[in-house]
Amino acid sequence: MALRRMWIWQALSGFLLVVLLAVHLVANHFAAGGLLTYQQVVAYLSHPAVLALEILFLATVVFHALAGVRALVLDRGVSRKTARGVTAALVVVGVLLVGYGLWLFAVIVSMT
Amino acid sequence: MVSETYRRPEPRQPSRRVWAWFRLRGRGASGWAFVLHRLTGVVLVFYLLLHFYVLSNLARGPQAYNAIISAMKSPWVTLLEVGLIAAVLFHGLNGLRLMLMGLQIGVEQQEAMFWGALVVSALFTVVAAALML
Ligand code: HEM
Repeated sequence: MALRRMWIWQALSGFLLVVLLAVHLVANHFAAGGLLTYQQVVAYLSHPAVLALEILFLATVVFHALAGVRALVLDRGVSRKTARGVTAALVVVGVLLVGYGLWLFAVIVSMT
Repeated sequence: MVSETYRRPEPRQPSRRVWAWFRLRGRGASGWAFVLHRLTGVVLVFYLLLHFYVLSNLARGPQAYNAIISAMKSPWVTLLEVGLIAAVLFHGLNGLRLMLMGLQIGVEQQEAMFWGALVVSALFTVVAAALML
């Protein structure tokens, strides 16, 4: 049941990812010249709209990926207690990854 | 009949053995789609972690970032990137197919949509490879 309910969010975040990933890839590889140097990255993230989209992308992709991992684990038919532990662990991982990403954005933005 | 063609929780049946997920014998197109979706999903999660690692070099300053970027100029990395493109395309397109099925849209065409996702991702991967390699 928990899996079913989560599937909606997996699908919704997946849908959002189609848009955000397309923007992320096109902006990175075509508009911003591939972000192959540090200076390019700093210039890229100095646009507020780009920064906002990248932050949204960060949160969405981390959520979708970890919800997917959770589905893989729960799919193996673990006990309720284990399932709850797995969820809690993945929430911590997610918060750490998004937190790290935000910190990294802050470091880059402070360079401008 | 919708309910016979499509039973949403099919992919997520408990199985103790991880390898059972990837057993292909006796699966139809939707079974192949499930296996590929799961496989590409796992690949993408690993890539995401790798991406975090590569980008963590940004925090170590321009030299560190520029160094890891030039280290990734190898043709082997490019080849892996082509594989990554294939995985993203298939996972994304098939993900859209799964959403439509979840909404009970085009359930009868789900097999055609699987082949569509496969062909379109293959085509775009070839184009990307031609541009990159
Ligand atoms: C490009 C846009 C994407 C779309 C439209 C999408 C869509 C979906 C959908 C609908 C599911 C649920 C599948 C099911 O019925 O069980 C799913 C599962 C999953 N996705 Fe994505 N996804 C996308 C990108 C990604 C990315 C970038 C990652 C990794 C970073 C990822 C990792 C996963 C994983 C690990 C699963 C679980 C696989 C499973 O349950 O078998 N996805 N995706």
